[in-house]
Amino acid sequence: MDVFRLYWKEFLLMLVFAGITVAGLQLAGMWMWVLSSGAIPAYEGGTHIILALIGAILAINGLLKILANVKSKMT
Amino acid sequence: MKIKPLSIIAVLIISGIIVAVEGFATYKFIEDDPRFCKTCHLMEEAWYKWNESPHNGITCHECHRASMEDNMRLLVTYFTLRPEEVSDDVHVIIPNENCEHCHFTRSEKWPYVADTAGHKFHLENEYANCIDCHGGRVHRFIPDRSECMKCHSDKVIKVEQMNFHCTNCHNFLADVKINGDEPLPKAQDCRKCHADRYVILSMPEGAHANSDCSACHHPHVTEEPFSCQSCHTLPEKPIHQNHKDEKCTSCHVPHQEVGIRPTCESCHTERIDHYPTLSCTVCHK
Repeated sequence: MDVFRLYWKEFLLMLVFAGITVAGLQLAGMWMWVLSSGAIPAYEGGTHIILALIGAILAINGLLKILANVKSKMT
Repeated sequence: MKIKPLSIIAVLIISGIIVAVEGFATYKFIEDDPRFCKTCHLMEEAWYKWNESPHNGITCHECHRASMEDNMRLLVTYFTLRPEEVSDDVHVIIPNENCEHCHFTRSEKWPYVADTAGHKFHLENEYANCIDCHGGRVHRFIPDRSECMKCHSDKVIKVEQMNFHCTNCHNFLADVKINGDEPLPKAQDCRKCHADRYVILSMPEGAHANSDCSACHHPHVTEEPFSCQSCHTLPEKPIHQNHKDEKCTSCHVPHQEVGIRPTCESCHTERIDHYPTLSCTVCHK
């Protein structure tokens, strides 16, 4: 419990990054499904997938950076 | 490990903006882009028919409005039950107001039907839904005869040559101010094909001039016109009594401009030189 109180800012940021990661992956998955149905041209679907994945990867990057920071502080 | 707070905030803002923009684009695609509906294979037939129809300029959701609850139900149904056909739920129910929004407003783009006899009668007297007639064949908006027959199955055509679409005679799009509130055929509707029938009876002159064709012709009841005796009894005059075994139409030839003398002479050939300048009915009453 003390850990949460001590690092609440980091945990809050991690939660936000996790949310953005899930949202980005979900959007990429959704556009992949749309693309696979042939309803939209490949370049349009591809653009959406890449953008969503960039958002998700950036968020994972932030999440891992904070996680590493918290871990280093704790040890 | 030491991290710069600025770099974390920058990553947060950039990733947040990218995912938010992408999320909004996805939301707009789902709500406003008909191509989203095409992703479901069940919708393919409906989608292609819509794409070829005059309604292809308007999006699916402008007519098929669904609440968030409906959307969630459809999503869950699609992924859990994997249905093989479209069910009669939000896909099919189109309130009349959605159609009236365009078709009850005068514009160059959409036909204005608020004051047309067929629509007014069916909407106000029969409380029909637009899709009862216009939705039976999924996005084939012009109803064919089978749509009429769903309710009017008792209306059989007895005249073989008249085996065409109901609206050829029942002028559905006639202005109520001209044709009245009911889409029943008027003389001008019959004359679209029977243009040569401008004379109804030439003898006596002007007879039935103001009658509707349906006074004698009722193709849903009999193939032949109604008999004259349905309305008229044989007059007591000698000329009628002497010809009582003849058909009325032998003398009262319908739809032909024939004078009295040629009519009588067609049988009484021996009387051609009998007072040739006088009409027969001057003496023979």
